[in-house]
Amino acid sequence: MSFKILWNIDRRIYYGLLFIIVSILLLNPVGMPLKISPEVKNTWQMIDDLQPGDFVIINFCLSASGYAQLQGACNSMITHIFEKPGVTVLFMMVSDQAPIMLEEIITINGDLMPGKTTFPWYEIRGKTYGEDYINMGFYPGISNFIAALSMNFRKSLGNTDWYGEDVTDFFESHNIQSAEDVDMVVSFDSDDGAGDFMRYFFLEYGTPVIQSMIGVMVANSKVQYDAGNYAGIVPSIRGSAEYQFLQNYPGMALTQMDAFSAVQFYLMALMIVGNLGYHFYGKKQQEKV
Amino acid sequence: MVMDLYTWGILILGTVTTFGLYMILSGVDSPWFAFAEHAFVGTAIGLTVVVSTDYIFRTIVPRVMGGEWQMIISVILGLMMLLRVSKSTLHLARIPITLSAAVGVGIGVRAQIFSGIINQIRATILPIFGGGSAMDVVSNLTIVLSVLFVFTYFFYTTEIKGPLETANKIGRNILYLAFGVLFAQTYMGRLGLLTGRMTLFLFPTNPNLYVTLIVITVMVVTTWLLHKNYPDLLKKLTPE
Repeated sequence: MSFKILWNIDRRIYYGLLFIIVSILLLNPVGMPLKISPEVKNTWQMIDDLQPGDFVIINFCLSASGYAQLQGACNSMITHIFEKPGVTVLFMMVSDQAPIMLEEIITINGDLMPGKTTFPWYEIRGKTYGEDYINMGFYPGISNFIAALSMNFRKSLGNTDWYGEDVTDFFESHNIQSAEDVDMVVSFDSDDGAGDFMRYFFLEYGTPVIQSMIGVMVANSKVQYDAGNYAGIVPSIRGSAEYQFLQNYPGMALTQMDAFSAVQFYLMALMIVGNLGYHFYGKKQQEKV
Repeated sequence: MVMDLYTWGILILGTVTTFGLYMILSGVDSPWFAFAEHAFVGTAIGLTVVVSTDYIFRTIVPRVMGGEWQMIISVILGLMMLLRVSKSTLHLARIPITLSAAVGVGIGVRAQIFSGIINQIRATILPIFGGGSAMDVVSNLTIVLSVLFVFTYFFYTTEIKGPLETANKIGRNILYLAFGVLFAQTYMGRLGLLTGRMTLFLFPTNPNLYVTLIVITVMVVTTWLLHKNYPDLLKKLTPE
């Protein structure tokens, strides 16, 4: 009889419990141990080794749903890059939902420049808009666009930023012509943005590409990282938490890891319960039929 | 005050859409799910149209005005894609799609050979007994053997018998293991979405939590009432 109950648990019960476990652990984190993976450590080191004069592209190929996973990585990695003196940053997006996310990240980590009231005039970790970084906004046609960008920066990007400001001086002062002049690409992905940068920037010009990706992409990205196609990876919420720990960034990814770990144990328990129900009741019922 | 209303409005709408979508897990129809589903599709399309149009005015139009007349061809080809809306003009929409696909394949194939084949083969040629820790040896050996065994599973032109049959079976089980890993990874990804989304509602201030709870209660109670007392109205509110 008891195995019949295990075999027929109402799904509302286990989904309800899932929500409760996640909520409790998000509100009351217990601080479960977290091991830093070599991939994330390597990525952190690469960014930490950026030198004055280096030019970095930060690309978003991220949908709104993916942002929930990578928010921690976005905040901690972007601030890490911005803390490196003399490093210049170009933000761009190949996802139409991403400009909203970037503005949120800038609002969290930056302050309005004196005398300015709105975007794009934010100062982030001492870097000012138009001089040390620019936001070029959204460009459609992911793969074809990135291929064109690798060959001719100015023609592909145009002369005005996402807000219609003229950024000709920015490009001319940093003399950026092609992928050869870029020292690093960091891509936050829920689609294969980094893959295209890898194909057209890394394989053609040797520009190192770092990818932070959502959970469903981790297996494929790890294969690319092992093959040397990606210089670094920060996988999903787990990687975000590890990066926040390394960067000492006070974010939510570390807190989320407690809920994450607890739900993994919960899932394993459900698997055991479901299999017990199947083995001692469900299987027999199916054999009878 | 206006800012407060805006913030609270975002919070309430976010809660309604998020938990509306999660209400599908209950297995019963919910008007909140229908609302969230339609709102999501509508918003995503609206955003795409606005952002893409902005791109044309921001990037293409200045270049045409600057004398790059050849860009007009791109605009015409882009507009031709919209001809898919009518059956009589559908065939014309295939021209820009074919061109776009051909260009994509043309520029992508060379890179794909390196990233997807040559570099992957290089990554599989690993030193098995050439130094490194015991863990490195186990890891490298696992990769090399797994690749060889899985290859045998895809032999179609030879009769599978004898040692090849054993290798084939091992290869199949390695594939099962890989599928399990992929499933676990997918599950973790989805869980990441849940925890990420929940974080937005539970933090940073406590009053948000109360609003979330009130909104969820309203959603559950209305759905329950519609089910119990107004099934016809529920059917109207949850179109297929």
